[in-house]
Amino acid sequence: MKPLLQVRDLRVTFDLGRHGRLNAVDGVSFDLARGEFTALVGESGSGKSTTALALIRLVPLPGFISGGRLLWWEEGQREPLDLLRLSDAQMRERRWRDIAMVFQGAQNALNPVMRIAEQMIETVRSHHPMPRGEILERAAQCLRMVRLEPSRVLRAYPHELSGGMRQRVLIAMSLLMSPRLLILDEPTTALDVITQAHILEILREIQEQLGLTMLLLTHDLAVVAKTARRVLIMYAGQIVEDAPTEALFAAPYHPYTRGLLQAVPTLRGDLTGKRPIPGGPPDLRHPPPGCRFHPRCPYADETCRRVEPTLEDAGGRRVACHYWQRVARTVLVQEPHE
Amino acid sequence: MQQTLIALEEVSLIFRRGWLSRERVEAVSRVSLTIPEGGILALVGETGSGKTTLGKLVAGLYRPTQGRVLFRGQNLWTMDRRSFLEYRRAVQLVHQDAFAALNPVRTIYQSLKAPLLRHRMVRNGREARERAAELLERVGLTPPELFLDKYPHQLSGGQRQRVLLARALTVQPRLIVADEPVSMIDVSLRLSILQLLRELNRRLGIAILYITHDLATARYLAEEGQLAVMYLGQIVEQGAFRKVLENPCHPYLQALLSAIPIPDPRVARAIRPMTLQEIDPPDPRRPPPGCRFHPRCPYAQRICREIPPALEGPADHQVACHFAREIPSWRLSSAVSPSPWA
Repeated sequence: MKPLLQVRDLRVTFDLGRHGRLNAVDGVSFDLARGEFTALVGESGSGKSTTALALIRLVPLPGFISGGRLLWWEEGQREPLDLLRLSDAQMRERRWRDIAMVFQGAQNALNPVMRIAEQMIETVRSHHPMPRGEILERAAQCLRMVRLEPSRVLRAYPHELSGGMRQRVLIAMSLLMSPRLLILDEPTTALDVITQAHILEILREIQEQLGLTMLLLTHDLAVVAKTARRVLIMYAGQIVEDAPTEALFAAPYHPYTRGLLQAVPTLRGDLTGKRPIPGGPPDLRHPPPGCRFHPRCPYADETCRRVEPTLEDAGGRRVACHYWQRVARTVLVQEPHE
Repeated sequence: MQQTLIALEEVSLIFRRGWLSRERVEAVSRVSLTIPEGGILALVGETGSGKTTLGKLVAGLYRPTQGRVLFRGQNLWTMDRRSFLEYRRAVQLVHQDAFAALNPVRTIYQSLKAPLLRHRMVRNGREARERAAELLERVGLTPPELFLDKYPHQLSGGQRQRVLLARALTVQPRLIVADEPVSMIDVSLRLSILQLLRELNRRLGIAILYITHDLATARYLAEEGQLAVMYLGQIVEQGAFRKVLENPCHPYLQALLSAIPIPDPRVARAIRPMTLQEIDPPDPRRPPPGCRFHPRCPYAQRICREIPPALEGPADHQVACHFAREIPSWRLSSAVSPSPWA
């Protein structure tokens, strides 16, 4: 079966005038399989949000999509549709209907003087003329999916709801038009841990029930472990590793992935092997030559400083490292606790 | 036995909402805790728990409405001016947002020089520059010459956080109150700041009050020290870090621990967050009567709705729950055995 979306060699450039240019997303390729829950993991500045915005063609100025293809496979079609070739009007029609996105921090962007019901109606109507009653019925359905009580929430103003409830309202809103692909940018970052855990459960439930294709953006590998089936790791505008979740956690193949896992303190187990990744992320106006991770990498040598690695096949997964075999073989420093 | 550096005795802080409003909000409610010389206390709570307010009470930025804050046994708000200045020097607050906390038009050196001269830690400008360089080295900004004349915007988030720590060190403090010092820093670099705090504690004997919402980073820093867990302005459980984590007794702490995501897919998917009556916390401005956790607590009885439970138990593990002994125990280790990451 064809994937739902094939991203090919996607490039997003920011023109900073006298401060130069940079590629926030630099040659990114991946597939989103139908009905799969994928996570895109990266730290701030890695380009994950920009990648997501490029998928719905809403990259803010001074950024613009400077290359690549977004191949959308409609079910039953023999040929894919390149989303980058659609007119703005055509693309607008596909947003929400085909691809919906829950933006980072959007729980604070609801209209404060409008009841939730009106905001949901407006969302649908701006895309599709539909009678109020029908929309409200659909809205109630979607709210129940996120475990909210429609009779209470529809009448409420945003300030009457907690942050976690507002985030769930937004997820419900994104489901209104039954999109094929749902993108969520850090949907639980500003929320309490207990609320976060419930929202992650809800997302997993919805994804399974609706067979929705989901792309979750996060900086937190622990969130990934709970939800996604596949993980894309992004560093300095590029994808460095692409693997099934279990395989990635069992043995990371890229030194950056390994470094991230080692940098996160945990509640159980030994902490002695935990250490930060030295250095900091590169200035993308002047990315380091060769592998972009080499200045921080314990495995780096002359080759890494000169030759840029490509994302190569590594048996059911992909990794962009000259020495991934060595990284994969490295025995873990830590022993399981108790 | 270590000497007590700071002690809070039944401290409450009540804010009045608005200027003429009669509505009152109890941000911190009858909190007692002690920080020993050279100790580490992790204060863990979520948004609205009052942990930042409590940090400011410890740092002397708020005056308690009720109760006393003691610095080496003396009441902060009745001590003489000299002792108060001494306290102000000894207790330093380090903010979450290092960018906001540094003056953008001052170089790093200028930011460090001011407190050095003001508190007469050095005699002149030349000594100030030498000391500033030493301090930058101490916090891992080496070589210091590279950083002294830079402006805050030229540094990364982690580097700015280090500058804040260097600035706190200018006055040779005995306690650093670090309020979410790593929450705005990239995941890959957080540990380096925590390592630095630990080093300051071990090498210089500086006590640390680490305020955070993240129990895992708290464990990294304070596993040998103390833990206090706050919920809606009150401490619900506290004691020796290991002891509390090994046997969490308050339903809130149990729920919190069950909800923390674990970086191991097998474990993460096997664990379900504890089922609460309500997922979302109540408005912290209107805390419920009785036990403040009762509307969400799966074990709540009538008494919980009516009578606030007191913090009880031996000093190394205290719990504020009417049914601390009756409710089922909940243990981290009861789940699937974790992989090396988790």
